[in-house]
Order: sequence, then structure tokens, then C-alpha cells
Amino acid sequence: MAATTAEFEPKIIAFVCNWCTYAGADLAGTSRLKYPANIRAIRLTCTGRIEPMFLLKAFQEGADAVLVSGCHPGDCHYTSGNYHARRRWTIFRKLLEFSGIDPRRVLFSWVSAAEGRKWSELIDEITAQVRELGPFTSFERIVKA
Amino acid sequence: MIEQLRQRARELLEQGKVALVIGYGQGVSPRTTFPVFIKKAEEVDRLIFNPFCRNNLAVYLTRKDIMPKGAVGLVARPEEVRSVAVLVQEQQFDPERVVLIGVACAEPGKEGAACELLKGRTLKELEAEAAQGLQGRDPGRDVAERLRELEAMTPEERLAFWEREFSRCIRCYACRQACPMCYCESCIVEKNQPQWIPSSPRPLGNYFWNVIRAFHLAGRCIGCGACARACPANIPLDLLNAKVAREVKESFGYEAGFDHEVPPPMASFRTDDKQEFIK
Repeated sequence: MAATTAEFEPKIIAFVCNWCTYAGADLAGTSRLKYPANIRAIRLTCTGRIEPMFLLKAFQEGADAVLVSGCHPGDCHYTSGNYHARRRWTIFRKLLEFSGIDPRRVLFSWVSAAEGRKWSELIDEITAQVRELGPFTSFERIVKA
Repeated sequence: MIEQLRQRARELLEQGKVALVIGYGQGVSPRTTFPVFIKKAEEVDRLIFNPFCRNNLAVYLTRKDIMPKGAVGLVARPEEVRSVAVLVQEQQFDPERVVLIGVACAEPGKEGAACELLKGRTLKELEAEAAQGLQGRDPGRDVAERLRELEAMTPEERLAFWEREFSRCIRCYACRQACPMCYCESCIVEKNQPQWIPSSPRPLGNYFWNVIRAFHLAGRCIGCGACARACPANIPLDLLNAKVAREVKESFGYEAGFDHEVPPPMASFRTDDKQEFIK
């Protein structure tokens, strides 16, 4: 790790669903809860819409970690998108781990529209965790090669 | 055994039950075999079966340019039976259109190993035969050992390992062409608006391609190893597939290709699926 952790500000891309987590993040904002600006939220209709390639593309574009977040089980606006997503991520994160991407850089959460506080605390926590891990230089090596 | 196989193929063609038999024929040397496509009963003598018959013939069942209007007879080892089970499960064709001629080899790839005609005729019966036939041998021991070695490494070391392996990839897509499950008419690797996977054989595109290929086989790969054998660069694709298959088995208790009547694991779910990794 070349850069010191003190200077390093991680870039974390969050793929969030429109109905729960995005609204939860919005609530965090309207509730004036502070959380680090290291997160870039990308709003999609549903976690079931989030393609595995989205995560890889985020790493290609220089993300130090990715987060996928949506409705709690049973709460999906489309009934079952999050259940399908859960199956997908169960396998994909294991494959990424096996292919050399540290699982601490591939994160998942359920955050409801009422959980502004959970969102702000989650972002605090994962930002600190990724800052600790340092920049994802090993993947950058592949991107730039 | 070979006479029984030819006899069955002859009957199917003469009685008009199939318009085409897909099987194995002799290659340029005793240890090589090629797929053969037999349309006339008098040509069935071109069929052979021996331990060197290792291509997965189920790959032709989704090829529109090869499949006849009528039914097709397929010389089916346990690997083909399981592939057909997955393809039927995914509704790629009507199972009535494929007549399986079940065959098995005790030790594929080993000279002089015993081969036999399987008893079952329907897909259901052959699925059971395939499950039984595979119990006797242990093709997975070597793979399990190599998986353990890799899993013992740190993520950084594994990334370096795969970087090295994938660096030989020339993006010929032989792995995709050899695989019965890679039947998409429009593959993600050819999509270019946006281009998800860079197409030149450079480290990033090679990494994306090989990882995504393995992921698209989750819950579908039956472990025939055709991709790894087709790879001109000897990339251990079977390791990636085996890892994914094992995770599917551990997480969802599912193994591909033994039951065409259950829903595919990646297109279904249980409300109580494990989720300890989700915060």
C-alpha cells in the first residue's frame, strides 16, 4: 500500500434500489444525519436489476469498494427481486473472492425507507473499513496493464 | 457394445423416429474422435465409442443450423445426459425431440477401458443412471485438491494467480463454443453499447470474460470439462466452474443435471436462503 491511510479517501459505489435504500438514504439527508461523502449512490429500480457486471465495471472505473443495498426480504416493491438478487450475490461474491477480489470490498445490506440512521451508520462503518484496507491497487494494476 | 450402439442408431433412423443421429466417429489417430452427424441408416458404421470420446455432444442440440425438423438421436454419456437435463429444464427444446442413446465409459481417457450401453431410455431413467454411473469414479479429487490450494492463498495472491493464468487467454471463445450451456445468441462479451467486457486480449477484458463466463454457468455447469479441454492456452477453467458449482451446492443444496423437473437454482429462491453476508 503506497498511499498512507491518512491521505486516502476511498471511493465506494453504492448500487441502491429506488424503493427502500434510496429512500432510506434520502431520509438520512432530510434528517440531517451526517455520513461520509465517500459513497456514490447509483439508483436502480430494484436489487434484482443489478447486474454482476455493474460491480466489475465500478472496479474498472476505480472504485475501492462496492455496496449493493435494497429492501429487506419480504419488502420488495416487485415482490421477489431482492430474493433473486440474494441468490445471485451469494454465489457471485464467492466467485469474486476466489478470483482475487477481497470480499471486504464487496458489500451488501438491506436498508429500508425508514432506516435513515442505519444507512448513515452503515456508511460510517464501511468507509472506515475500506479506508483501513487502502486503495485497491492490485486491481488498478490489471485495469492499467 | 459398439454393435449394439450402431444397431440402436440404425433402428431409430430406419423407423423414422429420428432424422439425425449425433455421435462420435474416428479421428485422425486412434486416440482422437470427432463428432459425426448420421442421416442415413447405412452410415451408422461410422459410429464408434471408446474412452477417447470426450467432447460434449449436447452442444449441438441448440444449434439451429444442425438440428433437423424432426427428432434427433444423441449418443449420450452421463455428461450429455446431465447437459440435456439442464437444457430441458431451461426449456431450450422439447424433450420429445431428443432420443438419448445412453452410453458410459468406466474410465474416460484411459486406453482400453470398458464402455457399456446404459439401460435407461427416458431422460428420467438416464438421469438416475448418470447419477449412479458417476458414483463409481472420482474425477473431482484432483480438482478438490487444487481448489484447496487456491483457497488457502490471500485474495492478493489469488488475483496474481488468475492474472497469470488469464494472461494466456487469446479470447478465441473456444470455451464458450464447446459448452452446451453457452447457447445465448447474443453473448454479453459481444455487447458493445455499452461494452461491458473489453474485447482485446488484455488483462482487464480477460479477467472480466473468464469470471463472467464462470458466473453465467452457476447452477448450470455439469462439470464435463469440455471448456478446459478446448482451451488452447490450458487455462484451468474447470477450477472456476468447480468452485461455483460447489458454492451452489453448499448454499442451495443443488447439483446441476440430475433432475430436469425442478426449477433452476439461479432462477428461483427460498425465502429462508442464508444471508449472513448481508448487513
